[in-house]
Amino acid sequence: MQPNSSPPLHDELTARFGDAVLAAESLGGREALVLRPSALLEAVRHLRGALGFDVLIDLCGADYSGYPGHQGDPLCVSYQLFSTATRRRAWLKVYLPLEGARVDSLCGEYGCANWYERETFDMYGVDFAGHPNLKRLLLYEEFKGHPLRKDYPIQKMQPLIPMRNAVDYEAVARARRSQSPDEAGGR
Amino acid sequence: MPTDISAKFPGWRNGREDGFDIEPLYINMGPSHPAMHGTVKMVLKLDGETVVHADVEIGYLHRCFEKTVEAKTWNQVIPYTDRLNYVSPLINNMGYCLAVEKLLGVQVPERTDYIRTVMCELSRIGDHLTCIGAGAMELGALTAFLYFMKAREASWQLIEEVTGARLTISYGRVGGVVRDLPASFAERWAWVKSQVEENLGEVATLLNGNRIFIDRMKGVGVMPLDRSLQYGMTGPFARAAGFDYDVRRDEPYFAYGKVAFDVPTRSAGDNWARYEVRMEEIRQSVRIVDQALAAMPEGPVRVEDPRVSLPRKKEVYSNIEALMNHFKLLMPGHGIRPPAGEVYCAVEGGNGELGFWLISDGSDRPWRVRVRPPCFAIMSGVEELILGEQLADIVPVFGSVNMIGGELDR
Repeated sequence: MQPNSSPPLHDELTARFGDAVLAAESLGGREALVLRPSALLEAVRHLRGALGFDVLIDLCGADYSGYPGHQGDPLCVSYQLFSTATRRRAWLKVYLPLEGARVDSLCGEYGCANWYERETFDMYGVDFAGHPNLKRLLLYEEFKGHPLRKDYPIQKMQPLIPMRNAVDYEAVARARRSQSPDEAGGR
Repeated sequence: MPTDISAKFPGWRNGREDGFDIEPLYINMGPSHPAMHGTVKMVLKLDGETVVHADVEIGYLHRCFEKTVEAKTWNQVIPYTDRLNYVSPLINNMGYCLAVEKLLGVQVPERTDYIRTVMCELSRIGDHLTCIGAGAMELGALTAFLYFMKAREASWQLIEEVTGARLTISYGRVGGVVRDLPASFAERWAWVKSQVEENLGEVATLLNGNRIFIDRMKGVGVMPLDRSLQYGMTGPFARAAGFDYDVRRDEPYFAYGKVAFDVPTRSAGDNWARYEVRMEEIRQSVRIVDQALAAMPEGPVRVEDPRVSLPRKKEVYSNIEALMNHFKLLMPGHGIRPPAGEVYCAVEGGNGELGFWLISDGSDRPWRVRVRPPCFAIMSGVEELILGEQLADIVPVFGSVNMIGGELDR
């Protein structure tokens, strides 16, 4: 759906930022540009200012640890941009290490980045440098860990209040059976 | 992102003109407040009755959707998508199926596209009716609410006749829909249409000239175009501010490219504009259903593709290939297995762009299912939206956001 007249984003960004574009992934008919994390903010500013990508449609994370064939840093932050003028979409990705994942915040560029980045921090533990209020969004403050990472067990529970001990009905029934009818008050 | 009033209105000063400073009042609004829809908490700082600082807390309906579905098979995710949006579950259902089909490279039969279009628009009608009706009720217009619930009931009854359920419909399948529309569908739709149009007219008469309603809606909760783009808002909320964008028209999916409809926009960006846009969208949805039903071709409703569709029972019992195919689709570790890859696919939900980012590693379970909920972006702008408004105006403003906790918190 992109107009043919405008050159591909890959070329435009490479021409301006040199090696900032590490790769281009073709995903479901669309191109996702993998950027060097340190170059993200500059590239987004250019996309927003010069190329008119004025809407941040989505910002979210993904964890590729153990993904077949994946090489390099496993944590991914994905950005979907949209331009109201040209109706084009852009898809950017940065890959970050699990330990000390850190990338520049886009809060200065897009208002909704604030909540999206808080959610990504919440779920993946990505530290967004320059975020004014980086705290958990969906989970509670006392929560430990980042649940959408692949190393977080799916069955793990972290109740705020300790769970009550469930009644062991099997044991109760066994104890009942071992008692004589008189003792158990059996009528 | 201004969360304090001095950032939104430079020159604002707390306190009274005569120099007496008023101590600000802090109010916790929600999460168990009837107008907060049960799932949002707002910590408000008030100067008199004016909101000077707001902190919106979400997450009270977080159900670990995205983590849970990573342990489910691709088909088992479908019922979870119903629960994402509890007023228009069909759109989420179909949106997810469309994304998986893109991942698989499956092309559904043409009739399915039309059925999905019809069912999505029925849901959208219900969604908008609920939003406007509940919003009007919160302002005291109970009659409007009851009329719209009557109309919604008609559309939900039709949905129930098709899917067998009102909310937990699970009607979409990868590669089609569960079953065809009942034979009486067109006839029943004519009745639903008459109900919806009648109630639309009645409510428009009740509200459009109502002094109280106009005063509470016009000029209240203004989100101008530049700010709404800044927050990445889409859907009726952004169209009311002048962002002329609708996924159905701009990136057509299903049968939306083959029907004619208008995308209503306004420029004021206030409650009233959002009300008008939603009212008009209901009329457009009725138009779409009419056209889609008229143009709907005959044919199968599931794709004949052994990778996604169960073979017919008669075949399963009579030949070995179909029996093997049946088990290959149902046994643990088999099932639908999209090739390794990723896709981002968007549909127009009741509130705006509903996106699914799916990652497959080639196994029978999704590696990652990301939902881009339409009301998330809108909710992130609510803090700014209610700054400088009266405490009582939060109710209609928040009502016009049409927050759906199910997809907001996932």
